[in-house]
Amino acid sequence: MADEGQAPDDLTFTHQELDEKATEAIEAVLASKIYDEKEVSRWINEICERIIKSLYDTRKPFKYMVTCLIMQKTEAGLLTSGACMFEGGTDMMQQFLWPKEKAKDQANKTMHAVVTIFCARF
Amino acid sequence: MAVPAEYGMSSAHRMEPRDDEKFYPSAVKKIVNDILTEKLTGVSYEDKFAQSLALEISNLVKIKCKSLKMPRYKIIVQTFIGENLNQGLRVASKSLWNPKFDNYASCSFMSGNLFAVVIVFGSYYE
Repeated sequence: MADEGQAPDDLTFTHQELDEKATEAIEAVLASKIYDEKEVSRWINEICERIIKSLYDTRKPFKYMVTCLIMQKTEAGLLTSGACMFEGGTDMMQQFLWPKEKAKDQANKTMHAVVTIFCARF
Repeated sequence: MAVPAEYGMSSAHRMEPRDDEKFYPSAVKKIVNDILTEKLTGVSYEDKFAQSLALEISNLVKIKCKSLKMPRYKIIVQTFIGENLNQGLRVASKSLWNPKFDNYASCSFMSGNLFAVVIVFGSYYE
């Protein structure tokens, strides 16, 4: 009975899978934009919604929490960290920085974005 | 078959958290506020220490949350620490969860050349 509909990839997400979802969402919203105070909250909203929708479409039995940070590019330093108390094998926490290091040339020159995705099994 | 309530950690009969075992954002926010003021007052942003500081704050908040009575909750703490150079910044989150039991608490702290944002999520394990 435990086998019914429980393929192994049903149990967790891979880093790559989440990376694709995060990058796709950010690129769609921020690709050639300049940092604008008035638009930022709308961009964040849209990024988070796109990611949650693509996570939900996988139909896995998880709750999702997506955090997005957008910061104007100055010389300021920024650090993020996460601590979690959840189930080791199935729950995931991943952080993604955009623009990625290797895409420096076409990368957005006015802002950084950090997206964190948590998946908790229920 | 009647199982006395106090035996229950098994998922068999508990459908939702009791009122005194829920994730209450106000209680968590108070804890986070205390930790931030304690750890960050008078501290100035330095690359070398920021990393361990952020991790320390995350772990401390997580440990203190465990002492609140939330037995079946998964706790996730996120800390952002940055240098305050009058840049623009925005942090926001969206979640897909059960709004009856799951919740979050967030807190920010700013002083001198440093800012910090902490978000704590609580997700009930059904």
